[in-house]
Amino acid sequence: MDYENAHSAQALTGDTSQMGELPVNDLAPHTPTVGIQPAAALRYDLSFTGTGSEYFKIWIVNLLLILVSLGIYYPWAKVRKAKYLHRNMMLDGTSFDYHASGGTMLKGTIIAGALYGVYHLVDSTRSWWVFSAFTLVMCVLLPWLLWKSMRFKLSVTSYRALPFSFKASLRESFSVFVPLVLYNAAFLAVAFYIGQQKTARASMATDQLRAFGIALAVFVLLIVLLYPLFYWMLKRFQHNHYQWTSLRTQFAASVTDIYKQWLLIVLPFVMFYGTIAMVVYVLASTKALFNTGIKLGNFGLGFIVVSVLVTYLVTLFIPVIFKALFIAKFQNLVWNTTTAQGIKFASTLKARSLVWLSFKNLFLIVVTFGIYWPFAFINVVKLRASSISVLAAAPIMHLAAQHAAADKERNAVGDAAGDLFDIDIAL
Amino acid sequence: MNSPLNRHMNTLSITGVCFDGVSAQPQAAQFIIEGGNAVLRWAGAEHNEKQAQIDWGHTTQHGVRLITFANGAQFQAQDAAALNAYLAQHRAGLSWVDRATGNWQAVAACALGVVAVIGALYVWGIPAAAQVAAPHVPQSIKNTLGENALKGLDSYAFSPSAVSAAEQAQILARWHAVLEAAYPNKDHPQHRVVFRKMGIVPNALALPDGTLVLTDGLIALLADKPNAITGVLAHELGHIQHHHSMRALIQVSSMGFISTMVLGDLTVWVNQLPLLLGQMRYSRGHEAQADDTAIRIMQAAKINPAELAVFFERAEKITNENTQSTGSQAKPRWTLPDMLRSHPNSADRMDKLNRAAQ
Repeated sequence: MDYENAHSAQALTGDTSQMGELPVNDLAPHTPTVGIQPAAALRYDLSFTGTGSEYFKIWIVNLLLILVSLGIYYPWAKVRKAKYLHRNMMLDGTSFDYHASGGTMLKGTIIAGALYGVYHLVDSTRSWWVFSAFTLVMCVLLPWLLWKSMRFKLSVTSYRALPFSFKASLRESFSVFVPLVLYNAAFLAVAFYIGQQKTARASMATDQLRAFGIALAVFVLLIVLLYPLFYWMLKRFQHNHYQWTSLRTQFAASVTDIYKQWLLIVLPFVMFYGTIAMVVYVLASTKALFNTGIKLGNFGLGFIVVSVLVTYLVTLFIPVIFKALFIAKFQNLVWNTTTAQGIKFASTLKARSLVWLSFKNLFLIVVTFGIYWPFAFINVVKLRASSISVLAAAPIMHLAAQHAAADKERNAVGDAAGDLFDIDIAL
Repeated sequence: MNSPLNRHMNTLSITGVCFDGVSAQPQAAQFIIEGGNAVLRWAGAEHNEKQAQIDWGHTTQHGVRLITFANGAQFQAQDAAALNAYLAQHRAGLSWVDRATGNWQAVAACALGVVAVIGALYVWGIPAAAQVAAPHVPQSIKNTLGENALKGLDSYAFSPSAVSAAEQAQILARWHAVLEAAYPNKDHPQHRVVFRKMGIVPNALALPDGTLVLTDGLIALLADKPNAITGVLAHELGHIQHHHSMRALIQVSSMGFISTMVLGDLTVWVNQLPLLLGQMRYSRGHEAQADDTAIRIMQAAKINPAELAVFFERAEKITNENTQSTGSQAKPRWTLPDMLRSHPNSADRMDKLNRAAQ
């Protein structure tokens, strides 16, 4: 559809001045750039109009119904939440919409719940063999679940009454998970190795610590080396296959881009944890501290307080910073390298704002015993959404040709399981 | 949901835009409710549907309201407030869940309801469910759990027992004699007794697969009271008979599941405390139940249950010494939390044992 025709089609909508009061007034032809051919003539800011107090009401009602129905209401609750989020996500004067029903998602929720139960059982056996068998099964199951989940999620999401779809094949989904399989195999091998060490020399604490230290170093190295590759393959899989009307997204980031960004985020943390590991290792090598646990008492209360504080810092505060940095930097990288025909995305999420917001949210959640959780959730959604813009060469409706019959992939299994296992499938 | 509208023969006509479900182009449109039908008119076209088939969308304070027709077309009102007022007046398009979400009194009631339900689950529901479920856990799973628990304890808490084989055999012989007296039909729970050293800590444990662990510290503490050692074993057998460790495992993971449902990822931050409290509360009930079993076994074997009270007396004495002296090597501080757990109850427990003796 060329621009001139599109413009005249716009005129057919009738008296446009009548739409002056509409929240959708920017749907009217605001075409000062006719005749010019800039890369991105129009800018549409994504915004989120939901509020914490409104979402709190939905959350607490959902929670009660889930509890009194012994979990059966869960899929309906999920739909209510998704509808609220989609219907408040505004772009160019109108909102997204979500069309799944609780009924279609019930079966998926039951299967996901069963998987969760099996996972807990497997975890509590602490048996290497059971765990590795489960991991192998999941390596086959996960690509299928992710694929199903993406197809379902996109097909029940719409914008301007037109559905999204996910155009990847199951084969592509499998190829995405090769690094995950490799990483899990390595993880299990090292875990088994340490297990062997322990049974062979059960009494020698220093040796165990050394083995543990080496294993930890190996894992940090493996994560640092493999994670960006896996993340890149996942994002490429997702961002190459979103479709809305005739618009299909494309992902331009190279694996090198991802590695660079990843190293910039990770290096300071690796150095910090490396230092702590070194200190522990040196203390362990002196044999004074870890020969018997009992001697810890000699260090007195001060030592205990300091080690508790350090533990909190290392296991809770620093991961919060890391997570916020990761989300901000990669949201920007991934969306700034995603395009569609005549469309670019721009994400300008400030890492510092997200870190600050994360701590504010955490503090308020803790002091309100969890009541603040829905407010915190909305705060993050608002911040992340408001930093994304769509840059279009022409009004969106002119870029989108009439849509072909949407594929009605409405099997909810993948969606629910993906949600419970927290696969990163957020748009 | 449309009955109020029909009854009053209401009509509604508002302007806005529609998305026809075919093109991304918004079109100026009129939305009309008349005689139980919903009509959408735009650019010379018209779509007519039974009003009942329409999805009215959600009320949001700041967002738009999208009315969805069964054929996929959507209408967005120019004056969303007027539409909301109309729907509120006729209570149309609202499920009872929507209405509950709409006002603060209902929301406050829901919040209280959540607290009440979680409280009830915690106090009654989960323990009852665990009690029903625990006996049905397959023996193979219990074996794996028990073996791995012992393997884990062996690697960081236990060392091989220094108690002589002869003394071990003596303890076991006394125990078997008591078992025979208490269970003439040999219908006691399957179990085995193992010996371990845990520093000087006096302790006894019952694992899910029926393994009873006695520490050297406990044997030393009760060296002059062989019947008290037998009493401790009877107490641990009570834990096995009532599937306590399996029940505790089910209870803790259920509470963990609920808190994950409620708070998502943030469980680590807020929920360690309730989980910990849960374990303490449950284990107190379990201790009392195990004490009852011990009393029954000891009485059947003609041993005075008061002999078991000696264990609590001495264990409490160690705790008190620990809290008074500071940092002496011989008295490990880290036994404190263990002891604190049963400490508030030990007076009651001794009372009960002494009463059973009379």
